[in-house]
Amino acid sequence: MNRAAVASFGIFLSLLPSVAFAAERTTWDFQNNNVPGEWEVTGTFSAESQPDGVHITANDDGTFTQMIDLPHRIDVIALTVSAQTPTDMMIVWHPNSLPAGALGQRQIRIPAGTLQHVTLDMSMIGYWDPHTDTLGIALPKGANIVLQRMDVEGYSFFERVLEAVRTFWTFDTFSSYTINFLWGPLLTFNETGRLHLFDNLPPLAQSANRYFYFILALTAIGLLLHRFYVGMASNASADSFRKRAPYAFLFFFVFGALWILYDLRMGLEYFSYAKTDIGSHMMKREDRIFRGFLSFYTTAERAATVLATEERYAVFSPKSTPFMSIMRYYTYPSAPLLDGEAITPGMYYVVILRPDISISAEGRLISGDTPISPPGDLIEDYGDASFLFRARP
Amino acid sequence: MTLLWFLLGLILPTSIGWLLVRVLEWQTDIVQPLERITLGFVLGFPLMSFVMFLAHIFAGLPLNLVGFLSVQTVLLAILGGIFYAVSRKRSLAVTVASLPVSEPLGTWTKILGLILGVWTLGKIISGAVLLLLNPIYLDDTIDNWNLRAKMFFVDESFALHQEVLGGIASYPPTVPLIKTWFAVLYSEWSEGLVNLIHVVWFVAVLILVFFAIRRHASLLYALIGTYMLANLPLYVIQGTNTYTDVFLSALLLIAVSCAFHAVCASSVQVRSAFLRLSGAAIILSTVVKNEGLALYLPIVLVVVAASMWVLHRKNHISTMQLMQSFGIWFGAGVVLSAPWILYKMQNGLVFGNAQGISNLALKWQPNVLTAITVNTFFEGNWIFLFPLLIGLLIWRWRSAFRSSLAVLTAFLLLAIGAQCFAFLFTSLSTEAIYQTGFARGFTQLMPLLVMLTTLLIAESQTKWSESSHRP
Repeated sequence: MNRAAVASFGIFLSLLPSVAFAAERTTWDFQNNNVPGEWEVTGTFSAESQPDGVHITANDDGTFTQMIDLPHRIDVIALTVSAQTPTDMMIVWHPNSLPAGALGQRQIRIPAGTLQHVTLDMSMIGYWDPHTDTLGIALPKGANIVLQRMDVEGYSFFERVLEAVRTFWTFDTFSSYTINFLWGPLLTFNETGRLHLFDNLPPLAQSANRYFYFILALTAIGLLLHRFYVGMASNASADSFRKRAPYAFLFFFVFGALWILYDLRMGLEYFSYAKTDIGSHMMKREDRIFRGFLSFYTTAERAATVLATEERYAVFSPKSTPFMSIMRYYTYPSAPLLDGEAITPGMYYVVILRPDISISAEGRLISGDTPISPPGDLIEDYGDASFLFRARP
Repeated sequence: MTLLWFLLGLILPTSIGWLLVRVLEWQTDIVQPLERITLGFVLGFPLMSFVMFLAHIFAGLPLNLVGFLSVQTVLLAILGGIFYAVSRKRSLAVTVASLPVSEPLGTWTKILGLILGVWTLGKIISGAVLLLLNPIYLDDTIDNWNLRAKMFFVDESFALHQEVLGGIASYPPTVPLIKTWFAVLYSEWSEGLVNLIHVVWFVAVLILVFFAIRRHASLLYALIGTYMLANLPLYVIQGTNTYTDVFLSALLLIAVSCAFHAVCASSVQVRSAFLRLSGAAIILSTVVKNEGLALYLPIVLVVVAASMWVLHRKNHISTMQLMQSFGIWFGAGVVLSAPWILYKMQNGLVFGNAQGISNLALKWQPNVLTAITVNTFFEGNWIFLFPLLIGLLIWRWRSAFRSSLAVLTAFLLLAIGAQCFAFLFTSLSTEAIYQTGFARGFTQLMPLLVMLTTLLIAESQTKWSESSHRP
């Protein structure tokens, strides 16, 4: 690109209204006995306005919605809310394409206790309408919540493009599924979607592949049209065009450029795996963390030096983890007890990443309040709720 | 130090493989020197470890240094003896190992090639570092490949351990025994040492795909194909982790590409030599992973038989030569595969991966087609390889289906068709829906998919060049 083109592009950007780069936000603040807007209640709700927000008790399933006519689109919804018991509430809205009364919904789980700030990218949800005319929440029977605040945010076109580019370069980490598939470059169109890209599996995002395919299809169609309508117009020009710009070569050139861009994206993700492992595991002597396994390998290596001399031992590890299998591998031929096998006196127990397990006053391992071992002694504490314990002979 | 022992551990099995390739070539030179060493590495290890398994089962040879060295010495002696006998007559040989003439690369092509080469090398080195210094973390490694290898190393004997391993006991012992060999040599179990071979398999398959393409296209296309394979994201992940599908993909590449070279060969000696190499690779694949026996061996047999039949009908080979080719194949197949099949039957081991293929009832499985589409076209696994290949198969259909390239096309379509059938109509569907097994099949076929794609591009450009220079 020459300097004039760069300068023109800069001037074009500076002339764009600043609003083109700013997210627009609308807030409904329910604090200080305030109820902004006109909210409609269906079902048997009791809603009471108080200083900390509106208290809603649902005696039956129902909704708490309002008609809206905002000057901006809605891409992100943020709720500040608390619940007395864990509550599966829903964001509900009316998609303009559906008949009146029909509502789209997205479930969110509010844990019991403290005030929660929940931010949701709505743009990837089926039936979501950024220009919806009705928005609110739905509660199941028995719900008891305090809604303090509701924010809705809309992104401009340029911001959405910018966020899509940023998301394209947002990398996944090496997870248990990475050996079987890679999500590849994904696109979301707001910051919330990008920051929480891999929180949901599958991610709430679009595959960037569809845009690559679009470009390739466009290239192919363009070249074909040129071939048939321009290139063939006269024999002389067709011949000269074919010599200057071979169609297949041009297509493969575009294809190759996109391939290398894609390879760059995926290659950098691969290097990011290596960088993480080198920084958090290989180069560290203490506090080593290995991917989702956290400090497990430090525990396993240290415990294995003791357990390898035993015939059998017991393992307490979180469910759905391969920790027991790895311990078996590390200590072979010494092996962990399988389900149903009897614990014998003097046996070692390795507790791995189990904050629910501790040693009681009488020296037993307890999970919560339940004893799970005979009395014994702590042999070695590895930190992170991991330790080696031995029952007394 | 680990690296030194690793390199030391490569020498004997690669030498065995090198001699095997030399013997299979017989009195012709059909491969390049570097290609021969690479073939030797890929074929030598499974041959050595499977013979070790047989010697242990039938002769009670222990799985220790004495046992491994005995087996390797005997193999070296037998193959070396045959090679010596054959090489005495090599003055009669027809040397055909030269590659087609290629135009020199342009300056910009060289610069781009250099950048992409460094980029690729970076990935390979990173992969090697991760394999060397990371602990094992993948399920199949923990429960199968490395666990069984350690069991063999510690026990110095082969036991199925079905009470612990369950269906995993049905996996062939070849790869674990290769790892055991390194540990035996080092006299100690070292994680990095036994895992490093995976990245060497990855590099080996890149070398092999380069020569497989180069034999039929210019240097530029051989480099393009190698770059494509070396940088397919999921193939890189598989190649630099402790799974075995890339190793199997190397054997399948040899088996099918050599069958393709055989069909293209201009002399009987060369064709026979390529067929022998093809046969050796597919037979060894049956003792590396269960898919080799249950899926790929029958398909390769069908494709090679059909190819030979076509050549016979066109009078390119005589009936005698046809029978000889299959006689060698069949003989080698019986000698190598039969003991493993008998052993499996005797011990009630299944012929699928952890679950028997005979137990699978046929029924349409919903959601699989969507999962396959997403996995193949809308994730980051294979960049745009599949749309490109499908486009080329349509555009260059005559070359893909009616030239000698049909050997590659037929094998790939049959293999992919069989895999898709299994996922679409059996309870294996969960492996496609949860994406735990589907892409594994593509990994095994990836070198051949890249080879076919690259040759079709090369062919289309050659045709274009010819037409654009028409007066």
